Amino acid sequence: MARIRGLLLFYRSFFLIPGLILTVCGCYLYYRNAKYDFGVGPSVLGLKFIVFALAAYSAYRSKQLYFYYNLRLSYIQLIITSFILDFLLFFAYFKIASYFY
Amino acid sequence: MKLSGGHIHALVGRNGFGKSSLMRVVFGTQSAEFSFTRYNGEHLQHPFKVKGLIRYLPQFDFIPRSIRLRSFAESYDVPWEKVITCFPSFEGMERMSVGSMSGGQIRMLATVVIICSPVKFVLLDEPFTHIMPLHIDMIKDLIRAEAAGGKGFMITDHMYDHVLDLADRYYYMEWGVTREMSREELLEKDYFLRLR
Repeated sequence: MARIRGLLLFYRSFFLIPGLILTVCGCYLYYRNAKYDFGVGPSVLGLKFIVFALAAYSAYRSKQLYFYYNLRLSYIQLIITSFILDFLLFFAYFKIASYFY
Repeated sequence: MKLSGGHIHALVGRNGFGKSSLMRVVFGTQSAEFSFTRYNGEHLQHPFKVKGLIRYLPQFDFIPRSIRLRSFAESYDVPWEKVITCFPSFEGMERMSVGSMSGGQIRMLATVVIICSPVKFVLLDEPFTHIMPLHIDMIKDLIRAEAAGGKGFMITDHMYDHVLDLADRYYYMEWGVTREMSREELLEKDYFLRLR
C-alpha cells in the first residue's frame, strides 16, 4: 500500500500539473477545431510527449528520488506508472471532450 | 567492505574521496566500474529493491514537501507513536506537512524514521549535520538501541567525535579505496589530527 501511495505521490509531484495544463489546452483546441479538421491532434500529442520527457528528466535530477528508492521503487517503475497514468488521463479527457462537439 | 547486523560501522575520509558514492553503490542506486554486493551468499544487483533489507539516509533533504509527517513515517513502516517516543517534540505535529517544517526539523524527522525503519541495514550519510547538539545525543542513543536489537549501521560524518564514539568497526576511505582499520590506526591518519 505504501508503495502504491509512493507511485501516486511521484506522479502528483512531477507530472500532474504540467499534464493537466496540457490536457486542458489540448481538449480546448480539440473542442474548437475537431468539427472541421483535427489537424492539431498530432501536434498536441507530440507536445504531450515532449512535456512528459521534460518532467521525467526533472524528476531524474530530483533529490526526492531517494524517498522512492527507500520504498523499493526504481526510477523505471516510477516513470512507467506515471506514463500510464498521464496518458490515461490525457485520452480520458479527450474522450470526454469528444462528446461535447 | 563487510557489514554485519548488530554492529555500527564508521566510514571516514576526506571530502571527495567517495564515501557517499560508496554508500549509493552499496544501496544499489549508483553503478560502479567494479562492484559486487552480496547478502548471505546471494548476489544482489539492486539491494534497495529487496524487502526489509536496507534503507539509506542521504546527506540532503529528500522528503517530498506535500507529504504529512505521519504519512511519511508510516510509509516507511515506522509507527508514529515510535517517532513520538524517540523524539517527543514531534507530538501533535502528525497532520502537518513536511513543507511547513524547518530544515533542522525535517532532517531530524528523516533521520529518526530511517534509523527506526524495520530493515536489517541502515546507511546514514552525515546524520549529525544540521542537528542541534542535544538531539545528536538522542540520535546516538537511538542508533545504539537499534544496533543492540540486531540492526547493522554504516555511518559517515565529519563530526568524527560522534562517529568514533558510536562505531565498533572502522573503515577509512582514500582515493576510492576502502581499508578496515583499528581505532588506533585510524587516529594516526592526518584526517584526525585534532584528536591526537
